[in-house]
Amino acid sequence: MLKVEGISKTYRTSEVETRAIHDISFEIRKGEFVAIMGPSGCGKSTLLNILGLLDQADSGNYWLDGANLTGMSEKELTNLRRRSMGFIFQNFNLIDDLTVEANVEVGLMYRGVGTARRRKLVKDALEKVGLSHRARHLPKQLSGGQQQRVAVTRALVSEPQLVLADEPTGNLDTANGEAIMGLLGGLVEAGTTVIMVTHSQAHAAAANRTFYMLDGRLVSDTLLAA
Amino acid sequence: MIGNYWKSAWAHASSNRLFAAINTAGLAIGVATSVLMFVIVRADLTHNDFLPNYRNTYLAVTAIIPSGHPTDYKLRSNHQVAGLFKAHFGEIAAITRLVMEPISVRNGDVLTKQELVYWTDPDAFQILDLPTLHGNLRLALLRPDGVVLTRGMAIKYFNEEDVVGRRIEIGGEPMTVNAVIRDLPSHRTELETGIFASGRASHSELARLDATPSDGSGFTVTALTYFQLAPGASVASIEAQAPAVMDAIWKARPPSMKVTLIPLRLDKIHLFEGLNPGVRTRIAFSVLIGALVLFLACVNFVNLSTARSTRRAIEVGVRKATGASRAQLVLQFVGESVLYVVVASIFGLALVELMLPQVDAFLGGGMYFELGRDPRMLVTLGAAGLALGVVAGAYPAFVLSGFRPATVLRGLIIAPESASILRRVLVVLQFAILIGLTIAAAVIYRQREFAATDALRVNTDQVLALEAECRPALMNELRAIGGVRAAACTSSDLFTAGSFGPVNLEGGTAVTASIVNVDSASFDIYGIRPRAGRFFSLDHGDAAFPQRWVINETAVRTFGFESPEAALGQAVGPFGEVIGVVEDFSLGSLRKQILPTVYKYGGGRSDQIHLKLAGQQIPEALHAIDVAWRKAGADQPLTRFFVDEHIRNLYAAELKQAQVFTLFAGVAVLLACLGLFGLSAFTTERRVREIGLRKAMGASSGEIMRLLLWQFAQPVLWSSLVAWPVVGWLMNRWLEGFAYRINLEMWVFAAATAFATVVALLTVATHCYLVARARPAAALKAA
Ligand SMILES: Nc1ncnc2c1ncn2[C@@H]1O[C@H](COP(=O)(O)OP(=O)(O)O)[C@@H](O)[C@H]1O
Ligand SMILES: [Mg+2]
Repeated sequence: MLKVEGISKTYRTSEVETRAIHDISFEIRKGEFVAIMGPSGCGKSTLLNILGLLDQADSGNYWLDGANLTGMSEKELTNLRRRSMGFIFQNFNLIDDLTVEANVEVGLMYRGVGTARRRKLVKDALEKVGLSHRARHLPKQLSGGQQQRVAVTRALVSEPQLVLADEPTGNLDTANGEAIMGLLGGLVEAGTTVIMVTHSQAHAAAANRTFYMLDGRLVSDTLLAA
Repeated sequence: MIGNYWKSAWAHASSNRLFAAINTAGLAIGVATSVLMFVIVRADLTHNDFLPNYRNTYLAVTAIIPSGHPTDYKLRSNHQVAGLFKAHFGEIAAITRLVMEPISVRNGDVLTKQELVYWTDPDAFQILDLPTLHGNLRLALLRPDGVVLTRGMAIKYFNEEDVVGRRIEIGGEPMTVNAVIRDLPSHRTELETGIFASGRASHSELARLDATPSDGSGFTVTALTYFQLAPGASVASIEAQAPAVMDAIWKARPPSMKVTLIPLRLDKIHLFEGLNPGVRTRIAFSVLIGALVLFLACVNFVNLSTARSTRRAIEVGVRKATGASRAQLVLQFVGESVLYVVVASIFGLALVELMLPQVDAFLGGGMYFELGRDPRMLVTLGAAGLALGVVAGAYPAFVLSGFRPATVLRGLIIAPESASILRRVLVVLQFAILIGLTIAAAVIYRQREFAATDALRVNTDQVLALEAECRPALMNELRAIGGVRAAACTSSDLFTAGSFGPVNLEGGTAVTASIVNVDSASFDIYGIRPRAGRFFSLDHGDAAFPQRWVINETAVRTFGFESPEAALGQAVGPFGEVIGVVEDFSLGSLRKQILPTVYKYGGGRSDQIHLKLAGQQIPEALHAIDVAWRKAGADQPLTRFFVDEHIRNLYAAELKQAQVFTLFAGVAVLLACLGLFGLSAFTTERRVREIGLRKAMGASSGEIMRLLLWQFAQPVLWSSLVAWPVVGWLMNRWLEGFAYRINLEMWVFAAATAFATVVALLTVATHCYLVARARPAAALKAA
């Protein structure tokens, strides 16, 4: 499904140069559930952003479904994101002014889905996560757990092949965290590839493969027996 | 897709109602104000353009040039000018005259004793091709009984519009209405009335003038003289030869006085400073203030939209992450701000529609605003709106959308230093405009007050002027009325400074002086005391000695005397002897310099009676005056006016300008406040977190308020630095248009700055209070 080879990224600000990730290579097959762990600042988010095409590596190669993405134009990358990816963020990143259903709809906005069908998909998806009754509320009227469920719904509603989640449970209590993990588990069962950054050993255990990172390097890659 | 953008725009607007309201209202007010100003200025610049041939049509204006004194211009010229022009200048294709006379007009019961009527040459409407409603305009005045009415006049006398063929009595003689024309747009023409009667009628003023031979000892200005040039002819040669034409009319012209005729193209008459002093400055000020208000509104709009949109970085990031292309984001955000512009413009234009009738009535009519009929304006407005929308939406549409989503979502985008400098500059500029307009409004207001009161140096309270020749019988009747304190025979030259004469000085030089006939009570009525010597009095028998002169202080200097006292008893010119000196004063326009003036008693023309009334029984006195007038055997109704009102009317244009200016300055102040309010809402909101932290660390609400207030008081101080010199220079230029004017006083400047500071502090204090009052936890969470 996806493969990276020797990717590195260095942030340069006026004072310092931070080598966020360095020479990372791995391959992930379709349907795998990968957890990325490591101490704060070791480069997990950077790696995830590069995999999600939200950011670009300085060097190295990245293949997605056999196509080499290195040197692709911004437009082509946008198209890829549009077709095959969904994102979940630690701080939810819901649009404050839009209702729950409108926020979820954003996940379908740029995928050429007709209005009527979009509405139906949004309705079904919200029903699945048990938030139908909150469809017309604004994000700030919801609890953190509910907000993250909305964010997950936004990522899932377009049925992407690849879901990238950056500490999706980081801001949640145990019960709400479990609920989110349940949703991700469902996705994996349906055949979606999921890559998730987490600090929680327990949540990492749900994945079938764990990357461990340290100072921008991939130091271990543990495959769990299914 | 568009539907979703719309939903997003609506959602954003409705959850940020204050912002949306401020942004729309500010822009709407800005649009309304600038469009109104445009309409007003356009009316000023397009006088007479409803006449098809206005570019080739001229009015001959008389210029009287006394040597060493400012030229005096008259809209009218002598009625013999037309004939002489026609005879001498092959360049003139057509020429016509209109002579105004107040005369009785009547149809059945509808009677006006003193209606203004133009006695008109038969070919007048060949030149003034006014839009006709009924009848044949060009043939209407050929017969001596022909009359043309405007629609308004037709309705006034006949209560219907199409009155072609109906009879109407003018000056007691029956005449026939041959055409009805559209009403004249009063603000855009020098024509003052809506009745045009054939000058061929034997009882017409025009016929009377033509029949009266002139001996060339003097000349009067009697007629509006319009002419058109033959193709290819130039007006310059006519202008060059005009003095000779006037010499043929005024054969006894003294060498110290020149007279000429100036051809003014029809659309330039209104803009001619000689006839309409200060008009150019007034227009320039209108343009300036319209532009400033629009500028303020646009700056506010862009500022607020941009400030707001930094809150939408997450939205941009999320939309990009889910696959929005840059073009789609540009479309969304530019579309959204264009939508604001459109909504604001619709409100603004509606406001124009609402206010235009009032403004038009207030400023004198003739203004119009028809967007549908003015495609150029529509296109201009559309293009300007689009440009504004693009600029206002530029930050999210072009800047935010260009970053990689990861960067936007991390909240790592800090507005570049240049952007925040730009914003600070704009705030300073906004305050500078606010301060500048406040100062300008105050100066204009104070000058107007000064012109109507102090500068006159005379007391015009309860002084009534009658347009009446001074007959002893009438004077005795008037003096006998209880409510009349004093009565004086006075020439109308007291107001107009319309009579001149040469005064020969020792050494052979001649100067021109204004000559005014007064009597023993004239100065007393205005509360004027002698500066030196004495005024005329019955006791001295001055009436029998026309060579006894009272002169003003300017004359003292012009005639070469050391001091007022030194002038006393001295002989001046061939005939004069100074018995008294009066302070300089003027009952005319202060835009004109006070001339050296000689006041004479008796012998000369006195066409007015000035009365000082007792304060208490004015209505009774007025009634008694009318009775006395009729008893004295007059058949015409009495024309009378209060002098203070008359003088205020002289400043009507200034007064209106002052009022309009104040109004628009008020709008600008309002806009500046709105902008500041919105901007401070934004800044304080962004600083909520910082404030929360400071409070958590133990800062008091007072300390936080002081911090924020100082931030906003600073720009006001900078603004003063910008505004003071600029507005000081501008207002000096404006004041130079007045011969007598106030000084620019420092306290006005200081007060304007103080006012702006209060405005700034009040708007910001509201926010600061709301924010600082919040509990620290809430403030932190809100971030
Ligand atoms: N936009 C950026 N500019 C500069 N440095 C950055 C930027 N983003 C991340 N970093 C730095 O790169 C390193 C890796 O960051 P990140 O990938 O966010 O780590 P993690 O998600 O594992 O906590 C950190 O040292 C961080 O400070
Ligand atoms: Mg991270």
